[in-house]
Amino acid sequence: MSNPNRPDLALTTILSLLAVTGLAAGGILLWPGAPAPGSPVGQLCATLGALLLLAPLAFSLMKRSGASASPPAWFVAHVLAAMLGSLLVFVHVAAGDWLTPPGLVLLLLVFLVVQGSLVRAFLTRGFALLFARPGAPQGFTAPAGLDATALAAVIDAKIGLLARLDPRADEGLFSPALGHWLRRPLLSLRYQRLAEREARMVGARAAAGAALGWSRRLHLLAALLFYVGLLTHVVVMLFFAGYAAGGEPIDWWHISDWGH
Amino acid sequence: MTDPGTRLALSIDLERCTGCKSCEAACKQTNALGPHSYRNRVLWFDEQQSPTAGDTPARLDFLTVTCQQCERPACLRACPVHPKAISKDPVTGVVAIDEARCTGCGECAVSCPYGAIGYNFEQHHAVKCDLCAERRTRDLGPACAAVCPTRAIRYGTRAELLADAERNGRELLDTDHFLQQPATIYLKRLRDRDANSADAPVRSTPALLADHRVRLSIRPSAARGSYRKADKLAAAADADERIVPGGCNICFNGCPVKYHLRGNRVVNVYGNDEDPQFQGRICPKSQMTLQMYDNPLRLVTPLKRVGPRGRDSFEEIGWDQALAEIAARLAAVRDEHGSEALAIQSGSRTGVLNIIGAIPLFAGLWGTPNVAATEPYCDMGKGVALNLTQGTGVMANVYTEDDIGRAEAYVYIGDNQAETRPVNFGMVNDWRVNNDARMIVVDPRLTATASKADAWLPIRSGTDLALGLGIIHYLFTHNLHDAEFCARWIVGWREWRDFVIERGYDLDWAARVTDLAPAQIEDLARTIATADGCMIFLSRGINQHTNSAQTNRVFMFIAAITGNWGRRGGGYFNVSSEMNWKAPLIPAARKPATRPAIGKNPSAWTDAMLDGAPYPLRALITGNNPLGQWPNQNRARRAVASLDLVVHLELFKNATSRYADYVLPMASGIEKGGTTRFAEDRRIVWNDRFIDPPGDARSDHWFWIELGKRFGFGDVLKDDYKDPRKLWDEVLVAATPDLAAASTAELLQRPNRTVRLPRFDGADGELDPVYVTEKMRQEPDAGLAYPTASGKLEFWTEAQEAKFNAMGLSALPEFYTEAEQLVDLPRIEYADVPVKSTFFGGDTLVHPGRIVDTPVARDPRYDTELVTGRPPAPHFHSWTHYFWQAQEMWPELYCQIHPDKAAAIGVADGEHVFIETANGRISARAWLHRGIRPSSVFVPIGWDEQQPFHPNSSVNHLTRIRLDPVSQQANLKTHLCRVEKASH
Repeated sequence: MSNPNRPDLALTTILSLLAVTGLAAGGILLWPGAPAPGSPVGQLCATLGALLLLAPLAFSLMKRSGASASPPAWFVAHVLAAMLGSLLVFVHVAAGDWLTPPGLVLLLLVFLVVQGSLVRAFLTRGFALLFARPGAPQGFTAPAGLDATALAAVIDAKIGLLARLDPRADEGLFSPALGHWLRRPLLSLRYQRLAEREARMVGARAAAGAALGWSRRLHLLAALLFYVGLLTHVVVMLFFAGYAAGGEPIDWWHISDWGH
Repeated sequence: MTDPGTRLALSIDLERCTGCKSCEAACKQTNALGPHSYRNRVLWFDEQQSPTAGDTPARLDFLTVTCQQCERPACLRACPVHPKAISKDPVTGVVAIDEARCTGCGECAVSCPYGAIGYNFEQHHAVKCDLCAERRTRDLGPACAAVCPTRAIRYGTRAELLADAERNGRELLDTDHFLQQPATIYLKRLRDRDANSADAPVRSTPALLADHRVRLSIRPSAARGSYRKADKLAAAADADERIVPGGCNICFNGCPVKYHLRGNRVVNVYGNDEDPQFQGRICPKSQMTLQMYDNPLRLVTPLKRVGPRGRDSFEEIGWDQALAEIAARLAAVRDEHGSEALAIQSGSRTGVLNIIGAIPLFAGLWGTPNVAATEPYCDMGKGVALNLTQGTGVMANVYTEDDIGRAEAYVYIGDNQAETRPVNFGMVNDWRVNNDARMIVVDPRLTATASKADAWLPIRSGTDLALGLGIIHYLFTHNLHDAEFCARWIVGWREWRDFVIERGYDLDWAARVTDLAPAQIEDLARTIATADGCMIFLSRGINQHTNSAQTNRVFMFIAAITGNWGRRGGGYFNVSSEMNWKAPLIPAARKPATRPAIGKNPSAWTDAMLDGAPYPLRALITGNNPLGQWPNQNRARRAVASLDLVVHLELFKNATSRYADYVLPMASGIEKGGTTRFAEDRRIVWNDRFIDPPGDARSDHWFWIELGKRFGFGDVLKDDYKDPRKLWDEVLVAATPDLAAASTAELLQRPNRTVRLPRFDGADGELDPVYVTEKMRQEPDAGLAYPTASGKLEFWTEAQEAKFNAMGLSALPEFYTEAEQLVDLPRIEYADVPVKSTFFGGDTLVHPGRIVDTPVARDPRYDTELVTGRPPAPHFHSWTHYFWQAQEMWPELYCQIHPDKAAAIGVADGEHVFIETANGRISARAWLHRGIRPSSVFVPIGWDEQQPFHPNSSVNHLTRIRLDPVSQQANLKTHLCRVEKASH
């Protein structure tokens, strides 16, 4: 038995947090005295919010790097930080114009918080129901259309590639970790593509259904886009303040007003 | 690459697996898994369609899904955590998950092509089989293999298991389609040898079992105690574990178990590995008693009804008030209607200490003969037939390799042993496979038992008597009987032979009545006659009919004339073997004279409750769940609702509770101590009282002793008897000579707490069965005899004929069946006026019958045979319906229906249907099952409307009251119904 004190957010906690975040966000948006986005308060909130929203990135890196003794603790931190960070971002945007390119980033953030919460709260039931999933479990009967020779060739290719990527690793137990991506990104990418090819041939993810098979990857993709958007927004606001102001006065702290 | 010599694995034998799910129960209690979290799960595969071409036999298969411990585990590679939360041991090859590192992303679950990664969605982490890593540290194998009733699951190094498979000529199922190199071994069904999976008929999991939505109604929070890691660790911190032997008290089989206790809590229940026969095998029910001992739904305080009957309106009261008020109301009933106006029913839950001890003592002192346990619903016909024929209810054969294990043929008729007594069937099936013995199953449906048989004979329900008569005719006309044994040891065999031949009960006649092919009956007859040892197992499919006693006698006759009586490896068997129980001793002066009993079956009480005939019954004290169990529930409920006093003694509120004036919380198992019923293999198993019951719950015998005190019975029904050992030794053992070797002093000496009885001469020791016939053959002049008047097996005597005639029948085996059949067949008509039965010592009023064969005016709407019976192994009557795991395994009431019949009424697998008889209508979920007669449907017993998880009406809303004039056994099996698609 493992540690029963493993950090986790129960269903009711997740839903409570989501509800509180949603209500607080609504209240902020309706707040008549909300600070302007570029005001010192607005910008401070944006800064703090952005820093908190780096926690999910940290979670992703920590669990992949081996630096964390308790990845579940980082998971909890990423949820809490994302929700609190979102609220601060809402303070930042409450008095602003949403129909601008940064509005898309905000939309991604809302999507990430809501989708992530609902997946954790409800969709995870589906993982439990995958066990001995009804119908014919595919592993116990010969699946139609599986080309075992091609599958063997993919595995052989993985073994060949692994000899260069990580010679001491066992192909059967290996997937590229953060270190591999940093040290040998191209080889890692090629290896990952082979692994994905093998997984597609096996077909387990497809058999699990779109929601279970892809919800996490959708979350990761949305998070990636969010971080790109966030970074872009920060760079534009700090360095291309003139462009961002669009001829209006620049009322926020910035480094340069390029694009004027 | 893991060394094959050290690589650990499970071997799962699909030929031996009966789908009982004991492995699931063991896994969850061992690894603290709650609802929906699995490390293993047993799937049922069935055919929901008739074959489009050809005539392939129907089949039913089971598959235990568990981690394959792959050499290239996809789950491990998919884990995004570094270092991985999933690891593979380089020596054993066991793939394990570190739940403390798991973030719950589910990537492993969606990557496993075997669907063998579980997930705890309450705490958001993956779970998987690690071959019980903690148990392995204590040199114990995985729990699933330890308990498996059939030895289908074995554990060892992969090399050893493969060598065993090769040595036994077993073919392996290819499961390495994805080149993951799984370690888990699956042995193919024997009939699939040389077949590839593409040849297999299309089978799938019934929608009933595949429907997640239904199971999700069981919330993860239902798990307590050993099913939650935090609770389990807290219990471990609180108290040291002590392991005590005892017996399971759920069903009548009393399997030897070991209770693992911490303080006053039961933390695990496993089979007793020190029992020489069961060797730790145990069914899921025994293990799930954990959910009985620790269950928030248990009754913990006496309740008094404050609203109208039928509504759940009660107030809590103390025991003193409850007992005082019950005593006062009983006294009023006695004053107005006589002491016989009190009826008492008990059952397997109540326990032998009460059925044979405390209740007869109370009833005898009080003065009521209207006392019944569940025999009239279970096996009264067998008991009457056995006593008539051999002068004792004891059956010889026991489950040892040298006895039942050496049979060359196993014939099951109306006995679904695999699902009702999984451990016993597991042993038989093991011997069948090992010895290449033949197995034939006669049953209207392809049960788990039939799924292992060489031949399945889908008989018309209720016509087994005709099958037996056809066999007898064939055996005599083909000279396949044991003439020497008949001549020397059977009284009346010539009368039977001449009668059967004169009546023309030949194969063609039997085939027409039973709806079987003559060749099938001939094959069965030859198998029984020619095998060197044939075990003929009968059970409720035979017993629960109005021809119960006669059908049992017919198959006893078949066993006897083919030399399968009182020998090793051959015999007639009908669960359970009963010893010759004697009533407890009551001083004659203390026993009031009473009027005769109203029937031997509680169903007969309803007339007396409603109409006061032949005299009124006005009070009922009952355990169990008669308002789920008695036939014709609408009438039964009206009857019980009309009473002046109803007292219900139970563990949980059930359908009966709502009709009770007082609902009293009872103790069970090791909360109260005692024995269970005489087990299938003639063993008594003893439970000491190890823990306190919850709240104010008390043992049944405590209740009867305390109630007795209110009437001055304390000098006979002594306060001392609250100690179960004293009640057993001083009342039951003292009254029944067969128990002489089973005092608690004797029982407590034994590591398995069991004694096999009876020990006729002591010299044979308890393991020697009663092989009377063998001894007679060896020593023909030694003066050995059966305990009958003639010293022989008696099938027809003038005295028997007189007894039967008084009940309107003959001791000769004239065929009749149930009135409700789709074809015209002889049936019983009952006399209006009851007479004293000639089979129960002259003190029981019953309605005699006579056989008529005039055509029946049938209602054309009722075009389907309704067959009832036990659901699969995890359930036993209503009380397992309070166990969340039994509900997770088998949730909803179902109706097995043939695909052709379903297509005709537009019903798809999993849809709801209404089943209606002249008595009532219920709904159930359709389970399309090719293995059932196209003209029949099957609905299981055990559900009622008050159950917590998946309530439904009892099937006994559909049944009607018709009793065997000889044995008083009720027909619960054969009724005509109609089935239609439900609108919801």
